[in-house]
Amino acid sequence: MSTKGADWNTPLDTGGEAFELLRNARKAWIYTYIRHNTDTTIDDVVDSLEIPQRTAYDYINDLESAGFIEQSNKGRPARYAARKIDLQLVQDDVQRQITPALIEAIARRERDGDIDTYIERHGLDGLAVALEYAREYAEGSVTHRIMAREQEISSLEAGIILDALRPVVEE
Amino acid sequence: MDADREIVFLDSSVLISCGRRGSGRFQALAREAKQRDVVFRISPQVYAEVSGETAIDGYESSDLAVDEALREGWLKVTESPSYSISEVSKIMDQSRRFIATASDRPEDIVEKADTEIIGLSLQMLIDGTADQVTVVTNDIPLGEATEALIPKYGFAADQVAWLTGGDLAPELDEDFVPEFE
Repeated sequence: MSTKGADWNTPLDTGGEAFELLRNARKAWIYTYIRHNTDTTIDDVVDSLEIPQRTAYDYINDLESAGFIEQSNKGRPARYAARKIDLQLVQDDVQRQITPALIEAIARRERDGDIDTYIERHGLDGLAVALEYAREYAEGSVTHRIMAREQEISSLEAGIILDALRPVVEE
Repeated sequence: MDADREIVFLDSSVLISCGRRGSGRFQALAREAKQRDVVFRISPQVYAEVSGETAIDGYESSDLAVDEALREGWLKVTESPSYSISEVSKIMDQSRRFIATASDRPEDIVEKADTEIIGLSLQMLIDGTADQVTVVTNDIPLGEATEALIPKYGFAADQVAWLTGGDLAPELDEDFVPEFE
């Protein structure tokens, strides 16, 4: 029987790690960085985020165990590729997707103070809703003022978050 | 009255994106104004939206940058559109319906004031202030309404143009997080 780093990959364990990504922006960053920079090394990840190497190793282990990333080569230094995350959370009548896009939005709070502020003011749920609007916005089916009215926020705030999330949805 | 033949309007979506902290986008706007040799116009509603008490804790407001641009002279606040000019009022109502349809929303979610930029554009073409009007907005339904509706009032399609912020200046499309490009 394998000892360390068992492949969890079961719904609850995967779900647990997905929740980790929601609340740990630096883990979200690592997943997203790997997703955008396939075959990256731990050193590259550490450079991009300025965290201690040991923390990066721990986080990468967690992501690997949950099946969100995998090593893409056989030798050293280890290189990683991202795997898709697509989970659904249902509570009463509300359904939310945990997707690479949502995780990227959370990762971006490490650099984009406006996303950070938006999450503090409206929570992760507010961010998920904003992401849906950002998709519509990019498709041309909504204006920032419409979002503001429907979400009861100022048009300034709507404009800010739509601008901040645009690169997430326009991949 | 100015004799500018080309008039360029900026909408809130673009100004708000330029006000994002540390983006350097306002400098790009200033540069574009100079290169095009125009003074960018904003409507009174847009000015109200991006300045004054709309500043919220945690976000860096655009109001200082906008006021500085006004002082430096490359940005100007226009009068409100003259609702008494029937074509102006009519195109604003049509724009409301256009935007509501494009968004698949009920009409009352779009306010007439949202479409001021289109009313003003038509007004300036009608009264001869401009030969050509450019509307800069990232709100796609608003841009599409501009291009679709103004020619119906007797103007050539090339007398009206819609640009997104990124069309105006590439910096306005640049990602805050280049690592994720």
